[in-house]
Amino acid sequence: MKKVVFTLIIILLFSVAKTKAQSQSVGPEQLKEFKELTKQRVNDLTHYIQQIGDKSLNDRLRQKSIKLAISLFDTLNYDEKGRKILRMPTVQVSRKDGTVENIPIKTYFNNLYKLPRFPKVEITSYDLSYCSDFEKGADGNYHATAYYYQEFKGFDKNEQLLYHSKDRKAIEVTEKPNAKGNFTILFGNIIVVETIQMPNE
Amino acid sequence: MKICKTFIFLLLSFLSKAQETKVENIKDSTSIIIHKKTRPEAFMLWQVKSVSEFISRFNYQTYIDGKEMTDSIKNIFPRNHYLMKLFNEDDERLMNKKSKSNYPQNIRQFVESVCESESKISPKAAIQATLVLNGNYLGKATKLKMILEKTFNLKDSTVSWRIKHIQLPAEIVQKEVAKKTTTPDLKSDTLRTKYKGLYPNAQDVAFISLVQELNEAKRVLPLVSPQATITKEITQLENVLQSGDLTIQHASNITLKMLINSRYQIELQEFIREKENSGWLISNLIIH
Repeated sequence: MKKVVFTLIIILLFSVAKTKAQSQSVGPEQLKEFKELTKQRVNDLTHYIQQIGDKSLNDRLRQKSIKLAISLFDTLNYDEKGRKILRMPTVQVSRKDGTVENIPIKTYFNNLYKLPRFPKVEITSYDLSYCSDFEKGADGNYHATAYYYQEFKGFDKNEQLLYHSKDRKAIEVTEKPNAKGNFTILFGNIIVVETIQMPNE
Repeated sequence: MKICKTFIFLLLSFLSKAQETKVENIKDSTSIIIHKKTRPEAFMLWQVKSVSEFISRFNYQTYIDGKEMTDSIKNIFPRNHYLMKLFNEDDERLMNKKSKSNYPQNIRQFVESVCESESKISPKAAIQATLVLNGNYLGKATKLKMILEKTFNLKDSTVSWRIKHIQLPAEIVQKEVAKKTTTPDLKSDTLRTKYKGLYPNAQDVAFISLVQELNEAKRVLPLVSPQATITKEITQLENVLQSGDLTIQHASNITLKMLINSRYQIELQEFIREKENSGWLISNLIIH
């Protein structure tokens, strides 16, 4: 009997803590802290992207960078019945020629890893990452958008430039409270808009 | 009695933990290879990246890259000059000096009025978005128009986007009318009340979450605002999504509308280009 009561109490406490975590509001100072931490995460992501694309690095490190980059994203979702389902966020690429393509994040990183057309790839990141103000969504999480810019150059065997583009990337950011009352920063979908494109073939 | 003490102890410890707010760091064990970062170009700093940045610049609260406005910067950029930078300078009505349009004069009057009355946009202000959804209907490219509204819920201080109106292309309306399909049992009110709406930052990421919701759930009704009327076109859209006849690819032509001063309405569009005057900018000014 005591065991049953104790188990019930534990369940009740967990649900109270979870509800508390989900319903808690954070102050302006914490929202500022979220912004700064998001910028750090964006720096991590741009670093991994550079490593994935850099063909001069060893394959193990580049594969590891794919895994680490994916670990920054929110890949868990829930269906109508509340069951956990896996959902890869999408990268929507809008090109200068007006075409728009939707690519799952894992495929996007794998494509960046392969790029068979270019024996040499150069990805330049800029010393700038911006995060919009966090707003509380109806799901109880805090949402913002982070921005970064990258330049891509693809070369042939003779180091002749074949392709050159500059992108503005906007990425969904969610601060999710967990049962312990802590918050976790996770990325979602990415919108890539090309600002310049130079196919040089 | 013992159980009661344990209960209180555990309750207090859990609640105190729940009140602490920390950000968890994902541990990273990768080898560190330093890739050089290049200094940002001027357009990257000046670009109005998000709608929240547009609001804070309009309110004269932030400078480039989200930095706070200081008195010395205010001396360099008086508010009227600063506000002028928020208009799309590539607008033909502003570029063509021979144009007979009243637009440049209306802008000057608007800027004067905002500076005089020290008007600000509330971060809780309602925003309306009109957009085009590009999709595929029975193997052919199609476009439908949608109006959404971003509202602030005072009860729980949450913000979300909901659909207000839908305009379907003629080919879908005609085919659906010809089918004479009966209205499905939508249980609309329960669905609409239950659903929590799109994320507050959906406008900054081209409403990609709207596209995902429509394609994955194959439903539009849960996204419709509880205050909106369920029109025939909403019902028809629900049918074509459920049957799989329509899939959505992406949203385009996103225009946001905000009321200023009750006399003016500004329209914003995102201009991604390599110049300082870029990002979310005022594309039109409407006088009521």
